[in-house]
Amino acid sequence: MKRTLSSLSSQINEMRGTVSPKDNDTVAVKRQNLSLERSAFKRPQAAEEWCAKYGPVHSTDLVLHKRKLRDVRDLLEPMIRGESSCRILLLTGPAGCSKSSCIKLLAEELVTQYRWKSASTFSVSSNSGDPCCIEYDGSNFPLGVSKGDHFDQFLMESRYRTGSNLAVLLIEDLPNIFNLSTRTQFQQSLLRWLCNGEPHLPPLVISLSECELQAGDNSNNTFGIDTQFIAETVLGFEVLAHPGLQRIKFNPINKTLLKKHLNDISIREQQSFTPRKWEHRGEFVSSVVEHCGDIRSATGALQLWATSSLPIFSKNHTREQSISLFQSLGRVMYGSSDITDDNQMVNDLMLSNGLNMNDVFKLGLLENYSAFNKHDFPLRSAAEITGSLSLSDTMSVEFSAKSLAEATEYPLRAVRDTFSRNKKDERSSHNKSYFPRDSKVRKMCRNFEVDVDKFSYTTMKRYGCWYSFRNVALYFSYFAPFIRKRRNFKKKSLQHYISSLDSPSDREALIAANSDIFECDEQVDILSRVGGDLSLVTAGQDAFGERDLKSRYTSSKTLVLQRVVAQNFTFNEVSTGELTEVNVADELLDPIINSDDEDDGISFEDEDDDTFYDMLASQSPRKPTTNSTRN
Amino acid sequence: MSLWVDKYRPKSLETLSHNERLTHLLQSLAVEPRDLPHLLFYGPNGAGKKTRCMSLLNSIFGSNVYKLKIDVRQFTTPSNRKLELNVVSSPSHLELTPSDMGNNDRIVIQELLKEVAQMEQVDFQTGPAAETGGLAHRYKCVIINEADSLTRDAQAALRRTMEKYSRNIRFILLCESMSNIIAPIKSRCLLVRTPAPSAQETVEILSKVAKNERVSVENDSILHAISENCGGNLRKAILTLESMALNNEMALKITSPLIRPDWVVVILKMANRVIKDRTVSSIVECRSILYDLLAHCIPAKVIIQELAFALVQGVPKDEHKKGVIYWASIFDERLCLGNKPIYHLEGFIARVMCELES
Amino acid sequence: MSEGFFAKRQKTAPKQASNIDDSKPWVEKYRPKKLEDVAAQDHTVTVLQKTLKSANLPHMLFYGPPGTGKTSTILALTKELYGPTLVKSRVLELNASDERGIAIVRDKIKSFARLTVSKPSTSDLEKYPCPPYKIIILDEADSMTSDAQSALRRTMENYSNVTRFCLICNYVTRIIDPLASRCSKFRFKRLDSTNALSRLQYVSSQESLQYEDNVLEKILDISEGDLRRAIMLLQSSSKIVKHLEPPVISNLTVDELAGTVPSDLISTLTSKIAGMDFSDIMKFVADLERSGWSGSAVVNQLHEYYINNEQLTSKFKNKLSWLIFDTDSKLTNGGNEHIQLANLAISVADLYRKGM
Repeated sequence: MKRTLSSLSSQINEMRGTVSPKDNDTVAVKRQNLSLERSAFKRPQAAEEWCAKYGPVHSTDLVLHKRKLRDVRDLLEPMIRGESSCRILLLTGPAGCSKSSCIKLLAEELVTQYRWKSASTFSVSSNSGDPCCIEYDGSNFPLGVSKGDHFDQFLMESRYRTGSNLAVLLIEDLPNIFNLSTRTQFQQSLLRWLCNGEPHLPPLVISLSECELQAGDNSNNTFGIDTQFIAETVLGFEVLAHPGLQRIKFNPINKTLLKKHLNDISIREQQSFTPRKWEHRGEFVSSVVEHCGDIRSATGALQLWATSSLPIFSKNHTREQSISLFQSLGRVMYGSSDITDDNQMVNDLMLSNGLNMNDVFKLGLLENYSAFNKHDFPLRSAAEITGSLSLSDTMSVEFSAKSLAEATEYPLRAVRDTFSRNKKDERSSHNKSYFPRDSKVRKMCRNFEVDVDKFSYTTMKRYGCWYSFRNVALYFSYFAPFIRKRRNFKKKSLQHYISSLDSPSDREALIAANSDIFECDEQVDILSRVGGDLSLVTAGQDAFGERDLKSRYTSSKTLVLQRVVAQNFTFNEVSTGELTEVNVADELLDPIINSDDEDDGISFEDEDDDTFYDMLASQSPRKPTTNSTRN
Repeated sequence: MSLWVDKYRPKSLETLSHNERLTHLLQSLAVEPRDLPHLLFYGPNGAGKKTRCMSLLNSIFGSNVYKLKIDVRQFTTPSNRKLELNVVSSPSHLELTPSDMGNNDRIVIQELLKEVAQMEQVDFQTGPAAETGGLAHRYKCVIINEADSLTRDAQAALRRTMEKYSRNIRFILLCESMSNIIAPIKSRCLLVRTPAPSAQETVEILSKVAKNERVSVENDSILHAISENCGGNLRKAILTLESMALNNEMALKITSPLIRPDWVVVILKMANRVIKDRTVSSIVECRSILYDLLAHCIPAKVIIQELAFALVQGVPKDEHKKGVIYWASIFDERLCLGNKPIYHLEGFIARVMCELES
Repeated sequence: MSEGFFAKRQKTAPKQASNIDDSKPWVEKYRPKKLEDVAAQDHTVTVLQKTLKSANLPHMLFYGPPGTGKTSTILALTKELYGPTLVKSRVLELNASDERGIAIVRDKIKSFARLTVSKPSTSDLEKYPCPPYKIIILDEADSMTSDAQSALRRTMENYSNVTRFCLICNYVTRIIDPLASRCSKFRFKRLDSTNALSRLQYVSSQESLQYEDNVLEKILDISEGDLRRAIMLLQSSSKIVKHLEPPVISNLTVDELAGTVPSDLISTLTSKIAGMDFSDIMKFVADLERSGWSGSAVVNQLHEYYINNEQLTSKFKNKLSWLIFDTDSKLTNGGNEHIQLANLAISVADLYRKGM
């Protein structure tokens, strides 16, 4: 809904500009005309939406903090001049805080200025009709072209928008980034853009309305694109971390500015107010401003209220400002400062859409409840809270909307109730809240699974044994690498010892006697604990920092299997195949011999120390001689 | 050489180690392979269910049951998600592990088994089959590991499949707990209890392995300690033995420290912490540990079990013991009913701390 | 001409049957062929036999615990009504729990119900009543969704001139009222031991089994009146001992197959519990667990032991049944056997401590 709104408004803006030369663009325009006509037909008295009618025509009209505008201009201007190392300007913030309008207006003002300058040198005219700002239209692409390709194509076509036909590329409409492959392609296109060697590229601006999404599938509530539509998930950290990208964060529109703007509109639209509304506009405007930081939605609400027959004191119809996860967590734990009645507060919270991500919210409670009064509250309360969360988890098993809501409401009330009985320590400020670790743990689980696959396939190929996942996780993931590592270590020391022997027969005999040791191959065998050592999984937002997590997690079983198979081929060529064969037979004949190693209390940690091997080599390993004498 | 636990795994019915009664039963089943009923092996982890089942297959189909190969199969769920599954198979059997498939096990069971059932086993000229005369047994065995983790849905589907394809599929289900298996399946299977080896049997097996591997054992008491520590889990016991042997230059002494898997050590430490340091911040610490255990795919049920029994061991008062086990039973059930283990594990820890305060 | 053809087919049929017979479950093999063979459901049988004569059958709802002969009764009845050849075209049997959505009711049942009645051959008419309607048997009807059940209601009414329904279920309460009210209900009671025993004896004599004393009683005991389970247990035990010398079914075999815990283990456990030493109890429970005994079996047998124990007060039994119920439900929900069993044992010991 928000997206369609924003794209509609941007299309309207485009309409007011010149007709673009590109064919498909005209088609788009025609379609817009049609849709506008239709809406006009529906509401003959309100020919134009106020937010379009009173939209800014100059950057100074923008309902935006002056400093923010200056920030954007300072970054955009050098980009347009081609003097900046910045290739992509990223604007993020909630919907309706003038991100796109700001860019469009600035582009109009700046581009004409610089284009004219560069154009004069070549004395090319006739490009004054060119749009200053080219938008990517994700919905309008020829059949047979995948969406990712389409975006790539758009970038390719637009890259020569410098010099005489300079334009700002605005990306507001995105390809279907909810699809993983399209998203990857999208991100790669951006990366290519960032790393492009060409000295002059047109300024690329991405305007991203961030929001938390309601995930339909309960099981998919990870910290990902499905729940958090924000720069990190949309663009990926690789793009974000690139030095060629500058990011400006927008806040919801300042209340005073918004109020002023709405009042201005009302004065200019005085004649279209229905009777008696005019007198009460002040109250309405302030209530709208209180609840909404979205200029589009606020203007729309004002228009609806003013021109329709809605009761004067009706509840305002702005888009409800969603309460972020952390805000709602804070309210549940500490109570709300505005609403003193806890019951009312919980009811409001339940109604607001922020809680729709049940699992994330509950996990967030679990993650953060302990921060109350800096861990200083009775154990009983902790037990009550975790108990209620645990019970609620069992309630949400049946997938009906009602039970899900109930399952959220229960722990929410339980937590509020528990903490309302604990006196809040005024000295302790609110601690930092953390996003639940669950998503991180799930990623780690997937990585672990990939590691286990690798381990299992290797064992399967090399030793012909198959272990079930559970057994690998519980036992083999620890023991097998432990054992192999020690084997490998022994092998090294034995090799050292053997190289010091003179007679080849001695060597062979020694190798034969220790065949099991020599079978270990550090190239193939997995010598470190599968899935990495146990440590602590800490809370915090560093999920983006772990790059290797992502790459491993995407590899499928098939891929892992192929890799392992390929690896094993090389192993088979290198390995000492004939040795093992001899030894299987030997071993059967062998009587039991005593290894005469003495416990020497040497720690096995410093493995790559040559002197250490020398020392070990001086000790006699299992000698073939003892073997033969016994025989 | 492969790990000792594989090297010394019995491969035929004749070489099975402990529990002779069961061996006899399997031998009598192997006499008439055509009549092989569906089997359900139940018993604790590491008691040798799989080993026994493979030995049985070995005596029915011949040694090619050990010629394993692995395939990655793809399935598409109704919600259009791709699912990858490892399918281990030999010419005469197929292995499935439902816990890999999550909630979609019903689809996998149905699709895969339909496919297997439709492939008639025509290859019956080789192996002992030929000796017992031509049409011996034209069926394929399907082993289902961890059958107790199959969802009810999948079990119902399985029940239907068992009837429908009983001509060319024989099922062997392996599970630790029979309580989760629905009655119709139980009644269609021959129940085979597989007890873990007794402490004495474990020690005998260990010393045999040690002898063959030329590990000097100073005193049997160290083997007893290993066996005690592993509680009848032979897999764990032999792995421990091998690790300890390699760590101690092939000479086990009474003083050689026991080697436990790192996650067990972590849980024991956590139990200690729960007993000693009963504060909210301690719960927070425990949460980090729990998350890490979960990230290493240690099943939550194993965590709660280890933790609960470590706590019962650790607290001196009977009242507290009772409290710990009571709360363990509650949160253990919730683990099965819910879908996010962390709530229940943390809830358990918080409750136990509370209980110990009183 | 046609008679000759049928005669030929009948000749070949038994041959094939004898081939399969070995592996054929005894439950099928010894299913009663005639109504009068149905064991221990006298009332139902007499009523149904009357309908045989009048050839007018109402819609029927059979309910009762498993293994009491519900399916056998209706199968025998249809056989007597139509004879072996006509049965195929006149009777639709749906007996799986899984294909019972509303779609099945709409398509499969409706299209079968809609069919006009095929004409019986003259030979059949001589031997069998061959009433002019078809019979649809819905086994395990209680697992049908209520949607499907209400869809069935219409179908039943619309085609009642040519179709009779027979619903079979364990729990009559799970059949929606409008459906139940359209049927005449037949309650199948749990088999009493004499009837069941004679049936088991018949089977074992037919199969010439050898068994220890009291084995059949034990089998009946374990299967709790469920004749199907009893016969299946008998078959699998005979399979196990087949290659023993001598092939005698012992009590131990039956115990082992049914997964029941030997009574001496249970009595040790109860005495340890009465001893009230927690560590001792925990140790013994761990041992039980290690030997692989099924937790639910232990719980069931503990229940039996305590409820039949005369020395305990009713207050004690009251608390105890709650504990056992609780453990049982936790186990059914997938609880860990070791934890749950330990909890049960400790809690019971605690009851003793509190001096009840």
